[in-house]
Amino acid sequence: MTADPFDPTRADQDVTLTVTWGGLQHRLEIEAPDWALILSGAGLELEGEDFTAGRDSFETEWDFAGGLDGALQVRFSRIDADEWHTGFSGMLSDAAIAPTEA
Amino acid sequence: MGVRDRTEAALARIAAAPGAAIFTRVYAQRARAEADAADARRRDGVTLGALDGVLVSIKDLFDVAGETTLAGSRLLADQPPASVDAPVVARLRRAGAVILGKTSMSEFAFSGLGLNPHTGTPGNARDPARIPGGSSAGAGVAVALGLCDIAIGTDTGGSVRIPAAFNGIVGLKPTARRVPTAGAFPLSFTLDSIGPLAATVQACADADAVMSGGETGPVVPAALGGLRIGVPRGRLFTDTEPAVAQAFEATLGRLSAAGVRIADIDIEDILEAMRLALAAAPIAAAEAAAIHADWLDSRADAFDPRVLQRIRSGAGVTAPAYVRTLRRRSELVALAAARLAACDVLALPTVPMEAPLLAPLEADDAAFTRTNLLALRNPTVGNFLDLCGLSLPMRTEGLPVGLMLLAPALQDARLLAIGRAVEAL
Repeated sequence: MTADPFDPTRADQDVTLTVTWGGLQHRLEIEAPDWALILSGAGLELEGEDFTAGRDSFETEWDFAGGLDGALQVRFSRIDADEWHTGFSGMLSDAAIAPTEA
Repeated sequence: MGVRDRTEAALARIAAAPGAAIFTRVYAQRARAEADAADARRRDGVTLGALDGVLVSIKDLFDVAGETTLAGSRLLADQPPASVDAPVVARLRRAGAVILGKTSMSEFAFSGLGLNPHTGTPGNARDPARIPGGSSAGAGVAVALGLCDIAIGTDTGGSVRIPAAFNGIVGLKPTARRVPTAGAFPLSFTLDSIGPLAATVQACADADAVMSGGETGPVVPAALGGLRIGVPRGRLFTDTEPAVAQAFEATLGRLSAAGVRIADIDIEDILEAMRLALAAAPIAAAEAAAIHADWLDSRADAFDPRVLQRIRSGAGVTAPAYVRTLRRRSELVALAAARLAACDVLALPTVPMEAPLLAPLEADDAAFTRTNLLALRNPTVGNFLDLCGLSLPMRTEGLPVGLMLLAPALQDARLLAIGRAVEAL
């Protein structure tokens, strides 16, 4: 018996996005209510996981607009510095989308 | 139900709403945090007032710190983000409102019908095949569908009152100078005003009080006995659809039965002078042409062509003509104030039609222009004459239609009290 293939258009599931920049993979776990909002096409900003590069720690913000075929931009800033830079800018479909593992 | 539960339910309804054009942006994480804070205050027996924990949306043209204000357009996408919240947004937050997101609008707020080819047009709350009204299009639909409690819009020629009428809710256009317009992308410096849409007059009054820096409190209905309502029959009643006329006359009948003194009032001379002044120099178009001068030609292809056409109609207005129209407006504002002393409020249909079907207006420029001008005709009088105005849903078996009450400048509290009484009829 095989599991059903993953369908990213389903709104009732938790998903995990992964994008790469600066030689690092960055992940965002999205709970189903927010995934539903993203799929609706409305603009949505979510705080992502912090990451460390060298001796510095950074926070991330993931900005969605336009649904599954729309844009994704991930910005980062040194924690508490409030100086934001773009790490990833592309389409949501450019990200790896997978079901969040339990 | 707690505020957090109501917020989650609203976010789920927003995600499931038909089409993606009602909310252009959703502040899910921040709204949850604001909701949790409101719940915590409730548990501690503390309240910030009438808007504490109330679910609010804001039109796409208000500044929110950290993000670029788009105003329903693609033209502003490369502009820097706002550094601070618009004052009205900051006041709403301080009052404990949970701001769910931004709602869609006609590009640069320059249409009364609510169409937007960039973001899509939300369907009317009662019948999605019909227009929502605009320019605060998503605002009216969001309230009517229960996606938020209060929506904040702007009104330069009817952009709060028209979507309120078409979606069967209440919309308030306050006296323009009462609510600060800083941080709201302008259409017309002279005519813009910021007002709420909600299910009730009380909710509109609460939002208006917070945004104008006043105190919230219960609106005591005005006594209807002896109230004087003037009906400006004449050009503002031509081309009125039978369903609207029937609902309006029935409303007047109920008001009369409740003791209201209703009499026709002649303002045709003022309206004709207003027409001539605006023909010489359309204020909103001229000011919009100034606002968009830097990209009106170089980025013309990025505009909604219908909006571009209206803005361009103001580009050729000469400075003398513009100044003369502003001077004439001042005279007419004073003349109207004196004439309106004969009554407490004016009453007329907000819009002389039910919400028309969307598809024919998308397809036909001439039909769009004709319908847009007719939708704006009555509400615009309030902006030009510096009045405050309220649109209330009228009883009808068919599609929603609105009753507009207009009162002199700075008589907003009196207008709301009268509206509260009329609403209860």
